[in-house]
Parts: sequence; structure tokens; C-alpha cells
Amino acid sequence: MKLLVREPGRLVYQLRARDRNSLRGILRLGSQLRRRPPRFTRGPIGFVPPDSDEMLREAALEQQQDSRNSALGWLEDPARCITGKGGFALTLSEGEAETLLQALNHAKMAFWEALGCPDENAPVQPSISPEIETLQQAKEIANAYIAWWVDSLSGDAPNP
Amino acid sequence: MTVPAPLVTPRDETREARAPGYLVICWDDPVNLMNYVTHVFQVVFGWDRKKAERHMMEVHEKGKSVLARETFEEAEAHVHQLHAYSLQATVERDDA
Repeated sequence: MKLLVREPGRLVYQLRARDRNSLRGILRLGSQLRRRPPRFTRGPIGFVPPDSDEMLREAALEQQQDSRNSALGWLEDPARCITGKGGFALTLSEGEAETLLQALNHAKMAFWEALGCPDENAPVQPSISPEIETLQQAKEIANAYIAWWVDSLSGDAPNP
Repeated sequence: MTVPAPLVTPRDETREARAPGYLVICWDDPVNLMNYVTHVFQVVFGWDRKKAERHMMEVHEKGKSVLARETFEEAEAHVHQLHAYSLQATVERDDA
């Protein structure tokens, strides 16, 4: 994966077919898992109106779905993700690139939660089932893409 | 006849100056990448990288960092933005 163009308001990424398939696979697998709703406060609940708390939880889950659907849509839109030499050229605005980053991280968090929120610093346990192995691999792949994507947005990714 | 002005004690002035009083707190988690958290703080709060990294390290080393003190509505909006990036952020009332 490469960042081909970085202009104000416009980013163009070169994706190999393998990258595009991996990104779509991560987003789709993540969509099959239900995330824990976020907590709005850890203090006394009294100052947060119950309706507001519930609305925020629903808004967070809805936002996760929206970002995933948008990201998948861009990756599958032939006008956005243009077939070319060596794979695909994906054009996004900076805001859209942020949305794709959010969607990737939601998926990674979904894998981690499905694995039982393991301590990331603990030695990796040998997988006991194909399902767990799939989740562990998906989390690691998502992690690698997230790290690269953050660098691309902050200007640290290697340019051609 | 004039109405005497209400007395304002230094304590009241201090409390007035400190309002609004809701804290946006980001809590440590064992899974989000450090450069990811730094990036999110830069995007959500418009901070430079140095300030964002300082708060990220505080989250990492102390378990949490107070990111902002603002009105309830502002804090609510910031927490919603941080949740969009899957960070563990909450609003707490500043009773100090």
C-alpha cells in the first residue's frame, strides 16, 4: 500500500488487490460482531439524564455502522477505487480517510472484545479453535493497517 | 433608594471563574496503538503533536488523562467524537 497523492482535501492511496481484499474482509468480519456500547461516565450517574446516556450509546453504535458501511462503499465503488497498474487507486477526502480509520479500529476492537479483551502484553496463547485463530489474525492485520493509515494521515507514511 | 449589591465572597468568585465544570477524561486501554491515540487527540482537539503525545503518555502511564474542562454540552460532543474512534472516554463532573 502506498500514499500516491497528498493534497489539501485529497488523498490517493494505491492498494494492491490483496490490500483491498484484506480491508474489505476486516470490515465485513467486524460487522458480524456486536461491540460493547461505550460508557458515558464512570462517576455518579445522576448528572447524566438517563435519556441522554441511552441516546449517546445508540448514537455510538449507529456511528460505527455508518463508518463501516461508508468505508466498504468506497472500497467497492469503481469510481472511487479505480482499477489500474498494480492494483487500485482509492481517492478519499481527509475526512473520509478519518472515517475509514475509525471503521478499521472499530473492527479491531470488535475482534479484541470477541477474544475476551486479552492483555496485549501477555504472551499469545496457542489458539484453541479455528474461530479464535481467525479473530487473532484479523486483529493483527487490522492493527498493521491502522498503524500505516495513521502514518499516512500524519504525513509520516513513506511516499513514492 | 438603592438596593445594596449582593456580597460576593472570594469563594464565590473562584467558583464562578471555574464554571463550567465537566471534565472529558480518556482512560487507558490495552489495545489502542499509541500513535493512534495521539492522532485522535490531534484531530478531535486540534492540538499539536507535542501536546497530544503528552496526554497520550499520561493516559498510558497514569491510567487516565483529563483532556478538557468545559460545559456539559461541549464535553458530551467531545466524548461522542472520541467514542467514534473507539477510545474509552467519559464525562465526569468536576467537584474539586
